[in-house]
Amino acid sequence: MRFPTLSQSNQSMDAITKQLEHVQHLQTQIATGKKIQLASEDPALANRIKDVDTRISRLQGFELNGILAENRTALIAERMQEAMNVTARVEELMIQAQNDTLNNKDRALIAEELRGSLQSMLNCANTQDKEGEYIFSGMNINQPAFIQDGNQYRYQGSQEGTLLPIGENRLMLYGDSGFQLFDGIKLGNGTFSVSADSTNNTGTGVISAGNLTSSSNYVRDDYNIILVMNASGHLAYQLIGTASGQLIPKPPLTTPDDAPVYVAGQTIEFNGMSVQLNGKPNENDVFSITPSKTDNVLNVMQQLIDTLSNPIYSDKDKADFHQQMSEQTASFKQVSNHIQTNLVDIGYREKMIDEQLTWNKDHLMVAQIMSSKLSDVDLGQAISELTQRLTTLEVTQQTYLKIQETYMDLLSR
Amino acid sequence: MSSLFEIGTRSLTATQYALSVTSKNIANANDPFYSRREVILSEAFNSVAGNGMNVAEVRRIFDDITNKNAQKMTSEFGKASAFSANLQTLESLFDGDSNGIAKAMDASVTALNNVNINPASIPSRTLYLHQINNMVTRINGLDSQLTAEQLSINNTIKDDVVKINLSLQQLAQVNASMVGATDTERQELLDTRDALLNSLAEWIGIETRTDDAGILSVNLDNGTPLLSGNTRYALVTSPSQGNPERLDIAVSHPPALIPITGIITRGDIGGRLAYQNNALNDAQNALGRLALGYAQKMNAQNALGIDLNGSLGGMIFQDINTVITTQNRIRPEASNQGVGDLAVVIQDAGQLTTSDYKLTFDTPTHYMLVRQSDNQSMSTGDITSFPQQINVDGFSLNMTSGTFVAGDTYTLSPTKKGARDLNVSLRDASQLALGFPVVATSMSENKGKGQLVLTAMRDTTTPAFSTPKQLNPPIQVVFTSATTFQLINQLDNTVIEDNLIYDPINGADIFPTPAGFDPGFSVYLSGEILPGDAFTLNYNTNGTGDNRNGLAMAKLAQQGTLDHGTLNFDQAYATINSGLSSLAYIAQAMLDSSNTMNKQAQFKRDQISGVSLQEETINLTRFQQAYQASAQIIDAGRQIFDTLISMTRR
Repeated sequence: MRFPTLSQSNQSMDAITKQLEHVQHLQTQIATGKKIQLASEDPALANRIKDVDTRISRLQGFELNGILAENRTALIAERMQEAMNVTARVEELMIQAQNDTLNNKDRALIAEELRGSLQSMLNCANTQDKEGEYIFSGMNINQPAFIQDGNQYRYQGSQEGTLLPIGENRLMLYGDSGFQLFDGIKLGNGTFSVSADSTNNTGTGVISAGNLTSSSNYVRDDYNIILVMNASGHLAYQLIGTASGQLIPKPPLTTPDDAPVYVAGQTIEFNGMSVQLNGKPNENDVFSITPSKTDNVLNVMQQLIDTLSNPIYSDKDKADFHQQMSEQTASFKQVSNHIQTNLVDIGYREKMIDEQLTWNKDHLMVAQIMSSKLSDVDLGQAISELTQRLTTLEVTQQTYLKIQETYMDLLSR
Repeated sequence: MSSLFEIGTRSLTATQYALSVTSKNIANANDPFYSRREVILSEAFNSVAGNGMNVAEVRRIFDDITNKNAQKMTSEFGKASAFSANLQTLESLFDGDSNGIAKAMDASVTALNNVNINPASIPSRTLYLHQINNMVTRINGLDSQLTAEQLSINNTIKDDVVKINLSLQQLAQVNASMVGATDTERQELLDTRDALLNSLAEWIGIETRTDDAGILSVNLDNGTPLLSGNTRYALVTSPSQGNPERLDIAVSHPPALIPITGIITRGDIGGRLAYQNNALNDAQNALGRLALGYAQKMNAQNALGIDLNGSLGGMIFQDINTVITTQNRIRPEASNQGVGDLAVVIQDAGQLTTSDYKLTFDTPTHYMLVRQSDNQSMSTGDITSFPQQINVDGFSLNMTSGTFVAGDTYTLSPTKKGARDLNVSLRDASQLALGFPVVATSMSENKGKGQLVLTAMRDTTTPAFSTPKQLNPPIQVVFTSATTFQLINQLDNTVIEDNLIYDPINGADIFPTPAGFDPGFSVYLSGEILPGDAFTLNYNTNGTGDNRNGLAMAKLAQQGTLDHGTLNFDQAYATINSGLSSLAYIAQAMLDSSNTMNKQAQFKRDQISGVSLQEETINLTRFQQAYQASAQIIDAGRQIFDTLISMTRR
């Protein structure tokens, strides 16, 4: 085996260069604090770091949206709570108003207070945010949600709300539609409405708002209860549905003689519904039962104000008043249920946002810890490795010098 | 007596010669291409007692196979180091932290999310537009750096070629000098030749052969001669016809030019060509594909929405299929004899690959289209009439006219210029179409709980959007029973379609209808609906706060839209980036191993031919002693002679 001088010194040089490279690598690691400087040093690790960093930047991207959604929902909840307070006050006033000891002036005063309530409700519905945008107009943020159109209030926003992403695959309602919150409310008892024919009825009978006793037996139809006089001179009633035909008395029984005799306060049950007729109706008086129509909070309140503003002079007026109050109480119950339900929904939404924000925050933290674990160099380890490498480097250099010495020895001989 | 003097003189001369050879070895110990010399001494015979010693020959110690192997390893190392060094540059160019493309993409998504909070806000919209512009500038910038990379490859190859030609010239001179040279001169010429061949091998892969007279010939791997006798054949470079950014290399055998670009696989040039073809081209194509995908998908989404003025959205980015860009995607070879009016039109950027394609005609009418990345034939057929459209991998090759000749070849690069041509054409931020053009409304008189929701915009080029800022016609959905409905034209109350069936339990997408009426959007009906209930679909005339299309855009950025729906924009970029890192990692590993093998091969060569100072020092001592001893022989002869003289004097 020959040891040619040039390759021998080349090899020694290589060994020293390699050691120096290691030292330099460790030096860079310590200086930057990062395990790898270029992805190609360890592509698999680099990919994992990149994945985690992408995740971090994505989660951070939702931070602002989350805060905005939180603020907006808090504002909505606040305004809906106000609306809820208004409905509670209206319900109190409605109970007061039905007290027969009140005179026309008292009722007019209540109507006046209700006008104020209506205004508060309208203010809630037409809430604007800092930028002056109407928060309950859906997409039509530049227009008030509700406007007065003659004696009616009309929703003019969009029926769809606007959405905002607050997490991966998580959209949250941001611009609410006032239609969902204040409009589209089913009147009456929520299934059907009752009314008396106030122009033609001569008696003082009042029909109750009624109940849905069985939704499976419920048949959607327009029904009339017509008071008749039977052969024996007793007031009796028949019930006819526009599509269902005569229901009471049940055919083949016929009116008026087979019709049941009218008893005040008696429950009349048919097709899954029950209503009560009270007071003193006269022959040919008609009471109607129709499927509920939908309307908005403001119109329901306006009708209530109209009812209370009408002065009562006669028993007939009083009966009409009670009839209307009975219907409107039922309808307003729907209004307050509707707002209550929405308030619960919004509360739930607030909780969802809160949870999502916590989720985002937790995952962001986990990702940041992960990123640091993956990419940050362990300084203690790196420094001790550097010390070790430097020792090896010295030994390598010493070895080279020793080999040189042997040759010098040879020459000096 | 005379023999004593003769022996002494001869061995003195021989030893002196041996000493000079040893000194020469010592002097050249640090020349890596010097092959050590060995002095062979032999007995000189011409009388009974002998005539002492002669220098029989001075041998130049080398092993042809070991030398060739070292040369080969030098070529491999040259390739690996060029490849690895270039890839490291490319990797750092693509590194997301330094060029900021990944950050700019993230920032644009964040800006879009902010616009979606407040779609009416001009400042938010403008900020988003700025962010897109910033991203585009960075992508353009990276692309121009890639083009500069190509230029630097070209320059290096040109330099290499100059050096190769010079070396070949010198080798030819060595060949010429070999004739009639003395042995010593020949040996020195061989050392020079070894050095020249080694540097030649560093730049390009070669095969060498030496004839009996010691004349060297040099061939390329495929046998193309570069040097034969005293004639050298120079390499020349010229811009490639199919791809003018690149260089073609040829050997000049006057009057012919033999193209050799395809067969250079080793040496520095081999490494640079491999980098150009496998890494740089792919990276530029992949970046181009990302740009094309971004432009096409965002443009398509913007076209589905309405802007702040209520008009349908236009293009955010410049059209990816302008006449010039489609024509630039295809290039004829210089050798083509036919001509054709051809264009490459991107149909669906989501289906594009990062490969180039080759179109060849084997007869004047029969063509073959081959994908370069895997050499797969994508389409073959006959061109008998015009226009022709060949659809492949998300693009179409459109032939408007042409006469072709067998052998005509075209290079198709559908994606290469994508990043260069990416350009934001939208100037007015209010023209970002963040809303949907249609609103669904349920009539306030409705008794049921049904809901009609616009779920997606699919197409705004339908007749439904033919009149600006109007739905044509505005549609009313009217329920005739709980499970049937009709569509009515609100303008003239005519029935568009009757007796449509509605399933209240599962809800229903009502477009397209069974009779095929499709206005270009999807609406979903759900909930219990009662007879007489109605819904309307109108143009969104007041949707300043509408962010539905903005949300769709944000979703698009996260969704897989590229490479057959597997990559979103971020991922597409990260994939290029990590692909290059892996490639750089492999290149480094290859460099390490070829470095080791190269060193081993050099070591083997040095083992045979390299000078060992220890050895030579010992030889020096040995020959010194022999010289002194030889001098003693002469001295002894002289003393004998003196003794003889003094004896006769007496």
